[in-house]
Amino acid sequence: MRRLTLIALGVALAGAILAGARGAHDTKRRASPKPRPVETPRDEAAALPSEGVAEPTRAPEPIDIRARLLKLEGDEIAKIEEEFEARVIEDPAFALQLFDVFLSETDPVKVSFLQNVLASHPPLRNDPEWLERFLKVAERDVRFDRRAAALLFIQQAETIRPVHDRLLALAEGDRELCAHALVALRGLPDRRLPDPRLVALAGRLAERETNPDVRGLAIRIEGNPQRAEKALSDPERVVRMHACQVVTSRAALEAAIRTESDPEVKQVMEFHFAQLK
Amino acid sequence: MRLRGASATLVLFLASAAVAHAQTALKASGTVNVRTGPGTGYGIIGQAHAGQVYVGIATSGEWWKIYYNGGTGWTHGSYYSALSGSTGVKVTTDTLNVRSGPSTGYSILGQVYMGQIHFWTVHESIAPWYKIYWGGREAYIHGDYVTRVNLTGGGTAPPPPPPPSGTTNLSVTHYYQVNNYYCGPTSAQIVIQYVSGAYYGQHTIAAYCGTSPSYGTSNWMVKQAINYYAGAAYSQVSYDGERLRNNIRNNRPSNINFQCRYLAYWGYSSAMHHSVVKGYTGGGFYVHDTWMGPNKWASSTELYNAVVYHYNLTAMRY
Repeated sequence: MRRLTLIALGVALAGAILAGARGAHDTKRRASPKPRPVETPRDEAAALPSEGVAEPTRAPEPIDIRARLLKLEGDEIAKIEEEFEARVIEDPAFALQLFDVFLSETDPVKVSFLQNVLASHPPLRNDPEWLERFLKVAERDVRFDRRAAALLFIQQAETIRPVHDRLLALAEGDRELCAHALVALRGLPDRRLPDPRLVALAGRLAERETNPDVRGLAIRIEGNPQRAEKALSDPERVVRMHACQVVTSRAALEAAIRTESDPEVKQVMEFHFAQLK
Repeated sequence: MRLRGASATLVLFLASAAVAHAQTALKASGTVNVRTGPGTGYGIIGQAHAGQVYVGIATSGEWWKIYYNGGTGWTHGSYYSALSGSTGVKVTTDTLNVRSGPSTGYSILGQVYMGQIHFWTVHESIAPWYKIYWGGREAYIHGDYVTRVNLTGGGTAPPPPPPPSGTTNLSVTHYYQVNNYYCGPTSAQIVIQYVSGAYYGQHTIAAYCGTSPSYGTSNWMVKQAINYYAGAAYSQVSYDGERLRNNIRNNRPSNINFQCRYLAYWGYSSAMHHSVVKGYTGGGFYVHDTWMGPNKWASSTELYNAVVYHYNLTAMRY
């Protein structure tokens, strides 16, 4: 009996051990969920065990923007530009810091430098939010140099559609910023969109603007050879110089060259006359 | 007879000792003989005069072999300085008449032949005629039968130092304009000094350019002055940022004529101005401004606006 009891105990103990082992195995299996399919590097990172993603990333060294800008001259400019542009790409917070300094800096070159660093990063210069930030500066800031620099940022965008109407309003209604708004609207050669409203505005300015610089610029932007022909006899030399670059009639330009009394204007006309051949 | 044989041997020896060079523009500093061989024992075939420029193609010791009078001649290098960055014209037809003036109405002086290269006196050519130096005098050939070629510096005058590797800001000496309307002559002075090593005063250049207090200096004349005083090959062209950068990479600063109202370093004030672009960064350019000072930085967009929305024409090298 005693022997039977011992055997029964032995069997129970073995069963318990086996059950325990099975139980542990089941628990472990439950604790390891089926791995997620990996599709992108981001998913891959998320699928790693927690200790894999918990590794702390090193915070980028802070840059004292103002201190660096104090040395913004000569060959240092290239180094600072390179460093700032790299940092803008890797650290979105840095871009906002640069913008804060842009808003309070009073040196026109530093202001322009800062907008140019921000514009170097395509996701920023093509972001409607950033365009809006800079357009507000162009519309409302008290300093002219900051307003002009803000338009330089906008001019570098792939498309200025989100801010187009307000830029037109600036070109038409803000005498101080008119020329800068016009060139921003005209855009850079590789970012230029045909824009009938700009042409119409340039036509109006070419007709009635009293500032010869703006009038000449408007004639260039409108690109209307007939109006340009008439402007070849404009009393302002600057206007005549702009106009001769739009004229397409050799006869008209030849006649203007014959009567032109300003030697510099004459030389510009002669240059463009040669181009018309 | 024996003497002639010895002479022929000497010529052969010297011919084999001659070292071929890339076409080099050589400017005479005085009147100097041109001979049939590289030594004073050779016969004189003519002379070169001060200021005339001939194209050297080979050297033998201190002697240069040049294109001269429709053939070649030898002349002593110590009477010449080399002009770097200048342009020559290469004959592309079998025989081309050389005339005393820029039309077929002028007399024929002689001929030049296929492959010969002559220095092109850019500033005095009258299209389509090219003014050249030929046999000790000025002469003209028709532009339809030549092609332009670059001439190298070298020889007795060292070319401008190459930019140190890794930098894109040339070591160009800066000068301030001496009065408020000399920006054109000063910007020419800066480029001339860099390209040729020669210093010319602003009044001298201003007189050449016809600079006036009322309208300053035209782009065209700035370019003419650079070509005249530096023997360079600058051209008046439409603004192009990449061309500017390329010039700088090739050790050539460019003159720009611009509207200051688009430049931050000018405080966006309204004035027309000449200066020199002599370096670039990733997003901008270094400008030696004749009024504001050396190494002024302007973003690429600023400079584009300042030049393109001014006259769009500026003096750059080819």
